[in-house]
Amino acid sequence: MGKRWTQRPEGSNWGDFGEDDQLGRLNLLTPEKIRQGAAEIKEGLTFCLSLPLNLPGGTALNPRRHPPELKPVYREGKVAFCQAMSEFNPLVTSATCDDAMYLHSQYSTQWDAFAHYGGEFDAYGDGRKEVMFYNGFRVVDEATGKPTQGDVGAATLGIENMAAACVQGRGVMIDLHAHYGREHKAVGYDDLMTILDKDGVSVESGDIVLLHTGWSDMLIEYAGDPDPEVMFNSGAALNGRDDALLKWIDESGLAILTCDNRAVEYEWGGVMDATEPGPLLALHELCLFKLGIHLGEMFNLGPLARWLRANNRSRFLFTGPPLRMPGAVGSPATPVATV
Amino acid sequence: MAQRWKNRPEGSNWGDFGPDDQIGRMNLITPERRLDAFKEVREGKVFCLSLPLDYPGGNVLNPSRFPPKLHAVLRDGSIYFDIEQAKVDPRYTDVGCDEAVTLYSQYSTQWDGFAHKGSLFDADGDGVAEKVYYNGHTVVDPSTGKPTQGDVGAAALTVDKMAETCVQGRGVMIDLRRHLGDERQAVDFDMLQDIMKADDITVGEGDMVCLHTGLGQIALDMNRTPDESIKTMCTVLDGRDEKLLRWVTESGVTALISDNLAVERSSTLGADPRLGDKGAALPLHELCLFKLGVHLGELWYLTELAEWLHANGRSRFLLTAPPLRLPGAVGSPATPVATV
Repeated sequence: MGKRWTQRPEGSNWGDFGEDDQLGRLNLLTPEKIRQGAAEIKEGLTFCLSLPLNLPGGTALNPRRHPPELKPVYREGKVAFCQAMSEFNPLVTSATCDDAMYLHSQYSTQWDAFAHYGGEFDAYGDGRKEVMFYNGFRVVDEATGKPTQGDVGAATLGIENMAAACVQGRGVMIDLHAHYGREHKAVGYDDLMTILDKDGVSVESGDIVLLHTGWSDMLIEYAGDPDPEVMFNSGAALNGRDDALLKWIDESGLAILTCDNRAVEYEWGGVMDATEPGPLLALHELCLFKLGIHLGEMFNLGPLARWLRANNRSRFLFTGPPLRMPGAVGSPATPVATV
Repeated sequence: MAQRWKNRPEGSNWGDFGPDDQIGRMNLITPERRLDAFKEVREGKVFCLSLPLDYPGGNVLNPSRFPPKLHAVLRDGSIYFDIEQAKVDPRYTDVGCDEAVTLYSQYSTQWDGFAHKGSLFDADGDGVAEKVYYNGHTVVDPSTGKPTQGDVGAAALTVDKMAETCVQGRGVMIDLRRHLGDERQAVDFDMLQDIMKADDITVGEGDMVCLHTGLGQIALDMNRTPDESIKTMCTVLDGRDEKLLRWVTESGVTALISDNLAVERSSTLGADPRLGDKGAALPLHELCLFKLGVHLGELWYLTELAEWLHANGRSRFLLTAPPLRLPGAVGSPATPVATV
């Protein structure tokens, strides 16, 4: 296979983990990082970092993504739900249930695969832009130019790669909510450094960083009927337009970035301010496209953040693989923090 | 609320974890036991115990369940896959993909929730057997008599309750394949004890036991096109051996996990000739899911971990294996992680 690119995007690490790497900074989740994470366990308590997957509720926060639906499974033409098996064999005393689930892979607590987000970029220096994803991959099949499963299905960079890597290591909580409350604020580099300093939090190479903004707490309070006006104007989010912050994300060596809000970064009402071409979501571009940093969104972080603060801690063991679903560009997950 | 039952099934522990309990022996994974489990993390090496979820492939193993299917999501009228946002505003360089997916919750690597199997049993003492599940719960809404989401959606005992516990504790591997090979055999108590003795394995309260039969590896090797032979390959536990059932009860095991289809002989093979006058199609399922609140994990991928443990003279590891926190679902795919 020839090289997929002759020039890589400025500030990217394409090729650094190998020409065909599809894991990005998951490569930094070494056995040593797992042992470091395990060394943070003092109490043996766990926190489930998944929201119930029927939250946020409705489609007010994203009209394209719908809540999960359960679907029937049929056994000999009958719905296999609370079905007495004596229907089929009078000797059998069992009752049985089965189901299927229809899930928008990024509706609730979820991981973005690298195939979720790419960029248009001139990878061959010929003045023409190509659609590319992390490490110069295309998500369509090289030979056919098409997705692998009809209209969808990523040929590369699907979420199954992340699942096989297990996603376990040392987690670090940065509690933005403790400083800003529910103020809607774009948090830049200076803001973040002040908070890390005040809270005595340090981020080291290979750490899994969690940002608590209070958004997931609000989703739980709304109990499935969130007010989009309020939600879109609440909570801190990272300022993807602050170059110093982007530089820190790169240089800190953090392996994964997760948040309890919708997109980790501040969304600017979906409006571009620059006149030059560029990304609408600059932090997505940096993480998913340039550096191979997975993004976790709408994690349920309130209970863990409060416990850590009350116990004057910021570190824990994190375990949070997505589903091993070949070709999917995102996935629900049930991440676990152990303290 | 009135007591949910007057009679509990013989050999059940209904009520022992509280009148409304829905997590069964997950209650036994206490913080102390979890701290013990972390003593098994020495190398910091991890194993993914999920098959790719499009395995086993086809629906030879169970005709009612189908492989996962990805569906397109629309954005501004276009299929949102490999889409340039420049179509919306020419300045944008972003490119995106999205999708939805249909998953049969028990197609591949999965957990059975307690709502998966119940029994016809006279729990209310009126002389008539009714459909009832672990701890006397019903899976239909008690007031309407119906599921919560149309034809499906369990009102109790769903996998989200299990997810909330995080399912993290000590795993213990029993490597049936190493001793018995890939022929179909029903493993009874005596066979299991011999293997555990030979391999110096003990199972304690709160442990999650993984039974390596090799079927997960065979499914992988068949590359998503299994033939009928897979239905009768590899070992299964003998759910009709009373001594084995007693061991499950007395050992305090919290979850029973296998890389085969049903831990025990699957009812997709038809009624067991030993069924007798009347009884459960799947006696081990009845004991675990209905009577004791022991979750069952099925179609996991255990071969690589089993081989590593054997090579390193170990049988224990840390297991982290929550299902999806999906309200109403009776089973769930999972990506279990073993750490050694």
